[in-house]
Amino acid sequence: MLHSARYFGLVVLVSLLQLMLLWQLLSPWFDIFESSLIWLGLHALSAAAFGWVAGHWMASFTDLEAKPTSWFLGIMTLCMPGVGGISALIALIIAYRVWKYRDAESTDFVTTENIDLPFTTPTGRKVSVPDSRGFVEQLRYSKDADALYQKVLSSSYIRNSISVDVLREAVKHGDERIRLTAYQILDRKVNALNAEIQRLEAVAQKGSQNVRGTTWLQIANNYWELLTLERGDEAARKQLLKKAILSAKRSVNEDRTNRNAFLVLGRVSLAAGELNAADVAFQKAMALGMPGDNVVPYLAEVAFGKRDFKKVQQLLDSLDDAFKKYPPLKQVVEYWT
Amino acid sequence: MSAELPFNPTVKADVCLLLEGTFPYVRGGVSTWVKQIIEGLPERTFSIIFLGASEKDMETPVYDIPKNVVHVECHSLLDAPNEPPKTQKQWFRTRRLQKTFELNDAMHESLRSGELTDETLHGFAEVMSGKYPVTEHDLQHHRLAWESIRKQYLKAPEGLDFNHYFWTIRSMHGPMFVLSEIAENAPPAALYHSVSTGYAGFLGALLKQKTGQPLLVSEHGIYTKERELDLAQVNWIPEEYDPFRVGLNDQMSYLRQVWIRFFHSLGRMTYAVSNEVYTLYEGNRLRQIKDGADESRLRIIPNGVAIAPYAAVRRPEGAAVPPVIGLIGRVVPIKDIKTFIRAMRVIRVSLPGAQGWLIGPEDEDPIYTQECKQLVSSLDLEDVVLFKGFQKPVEMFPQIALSVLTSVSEGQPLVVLEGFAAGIPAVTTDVGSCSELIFGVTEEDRAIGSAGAVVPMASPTEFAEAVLELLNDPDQWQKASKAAIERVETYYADDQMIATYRDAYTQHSGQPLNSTHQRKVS
Repeated sequence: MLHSARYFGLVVLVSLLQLMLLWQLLSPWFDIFESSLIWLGLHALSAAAFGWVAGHWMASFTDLEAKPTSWFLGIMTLCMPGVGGISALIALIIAYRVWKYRDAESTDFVTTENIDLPFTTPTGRKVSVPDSRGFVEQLRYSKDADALYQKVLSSSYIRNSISVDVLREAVKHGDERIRLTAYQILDRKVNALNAEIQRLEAVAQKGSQNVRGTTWLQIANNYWELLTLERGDEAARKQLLKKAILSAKRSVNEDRTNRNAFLVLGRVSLAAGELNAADVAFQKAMALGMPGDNVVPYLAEVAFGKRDFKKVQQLLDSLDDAFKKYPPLKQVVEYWT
Repeated sequence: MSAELPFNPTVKADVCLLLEGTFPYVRGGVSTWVKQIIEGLPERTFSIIFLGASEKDMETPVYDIPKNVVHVECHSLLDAPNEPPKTQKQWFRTRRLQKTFELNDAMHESLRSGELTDETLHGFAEVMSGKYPVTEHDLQHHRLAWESIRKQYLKAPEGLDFNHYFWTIRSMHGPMFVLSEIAENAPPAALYHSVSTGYAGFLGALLKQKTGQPLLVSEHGIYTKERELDLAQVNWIPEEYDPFRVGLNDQMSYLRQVWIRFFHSLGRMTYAVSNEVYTLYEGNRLRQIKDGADESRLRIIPNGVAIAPYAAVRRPEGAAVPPVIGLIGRVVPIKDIKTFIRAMRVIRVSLPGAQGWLIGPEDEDPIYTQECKQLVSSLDLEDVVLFKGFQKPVEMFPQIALSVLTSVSEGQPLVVLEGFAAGIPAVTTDVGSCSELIFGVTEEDRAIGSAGAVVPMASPTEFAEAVLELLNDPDQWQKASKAAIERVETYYADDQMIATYRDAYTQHSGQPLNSTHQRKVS
């Protein structure tokens, strides 16, 4: 502040000198200089001095740079003795304050025409036209590669069990963009599951018994999900089933009261063709309180595998009507009962 | 490998190569090709401007620098600058800057409407390096930049998050200022040759605009296509949340489209000002036309390989062929190594002594490499699938029966041609120009016969069947080997490719014209 005050003091002093020189120029009665060259020399010096002190004074409390400001004010003073520099200085101060005041104004808000939720439809939103053809059929027969590409992209948002057939078909498509996109989506899904399995295995190593039980169950579910993605690859399927069974067994060993774990163990054993193990696991799940309607269809599948068709009928008949009326069980029940 | 690179920014080279993510820091077919060109033209001097993502990508070169490279400079496009931004509070500059921003808006409008001319590039060059340029600091802090972004945002679809839009624009344009600075201080050259479009191509366009020297572009893959595929699925681009979205949303998010359009624009601007644009095969040429290249300036110059070193390691006729198949390539997802591993399981069942070698660097994608090794382990193939790491192909070819690729995307793989020169047939997926290499292009070429097999992508069973067919039938293998040798010697020898580029450099750098060797497109 002192720094600024010192400069201000010098500005006032040099301004007075400038005004004196101007008065001397204009007034015929006050002639202390013998030669106009001396006046010019003094004027030039005082103009330079004014420019320097005023420029540095402005720089001390604004963002202006001292050097260009000094030059500007010095030249103004030189060209217009007295009034030039002073008025330029006043103009700069006013301009600075106006600019500062503008900066303090509130920022422009950007308004958009967002819809009011939840009652109105967004205006201008493109409405998708439903297509009754199957997605896989579209991939095989549709000529519109751009539209198919968009659909393949969007299939990454839907459940694996639905999208995997689509993506596997897309991987064989003639259009390279569709092929590569489908491949990348499949690869990303598999990688994400593998990464999650690795992470959970690390958690399972360190956690308490409760945590271990549920973690191994999650791992088993992730392997089950991977099975969906590796559909069609028999070699990988066998390996993944083995790992899923191992993980499910570890889960039930950690927590013998987890009915979900027994259900998952039963399902993976059934998929692996281990019917007796599946049967035991399902019975245990029911014994732990799993609703019968959740388990009975699998028990029926086990019975079918064992060729005990009477038992298949009995089991399916025992299902609640609510389950028998709707797909996917409706057709099965109609056939067997 | 010496890390000392020649640095002589004032020396005027005959050719300045503009390389993005390739030679001399990244191994691969393109880098090998670049080295081939430099070494094949020892009478020419080369300077190299390398563009990488960050400083850590440029620590140690993985290739020796040929003697006729007089200058190498490296720039990272994404690292933040070390110097603090210059103070730009010159209030009398704003009025001049206003005109620059208006020009910028007009040029963006021109891009959006597809009316791309030399004037468009000239306009952008003026915006970035003209008399009153927009600097990165202006983009980040100036009120005019804010207003410009806001105006563009209001043209975007309703509901787009302004925060996401703003940061997208800022991050997108950051590398452009780096390119502008590089162009301002680039070493002099008689001709600029970019080995892709994208940032390197745009740099070439800026250099041509600044110096008036010719610009040539060689594309191996199609940069814009590869970026489009990447950008379509990356998860760092924010998605717009639409609470009324039901079922599948078949519209790509606006910001993804902005990013894709950005790279398309870079490509189109590069094509617009290039003197000539080269590619490897007809499929790519058609894609270039679709992407806006002028057909009259496109030429196909196929890859070429040095025959002699590989001819020296050819197996004598009648010699036993080991049941070993080699995939020579980087262990990265685009090579689809997992399909190869799964196929080896099928092959092993029919041919118990068979082995599959993965010959290539494993450090580019360590997570993927780990997954592949886990897959090998889970399929009990530890003694069947061997990870050999980086090896010289010429040392590997005598030990393998087939050179294979299970890639999901390829251009014109040099490794297949090198294998052909060594008399090794190839089994590849039907991507890029692989089927042209294996079955031929023209009538005369096709008459030579099949040099292997082509199978659908991501199909381990069909791949395995094709491999077994060749391994179990020595006569068929022999026929394929002969066809491979004849095809590569007739159409893909490196002296033809080098001669074509020599003529191109001579023609475009203003020296007397020589006869050209150009592959006929049927």
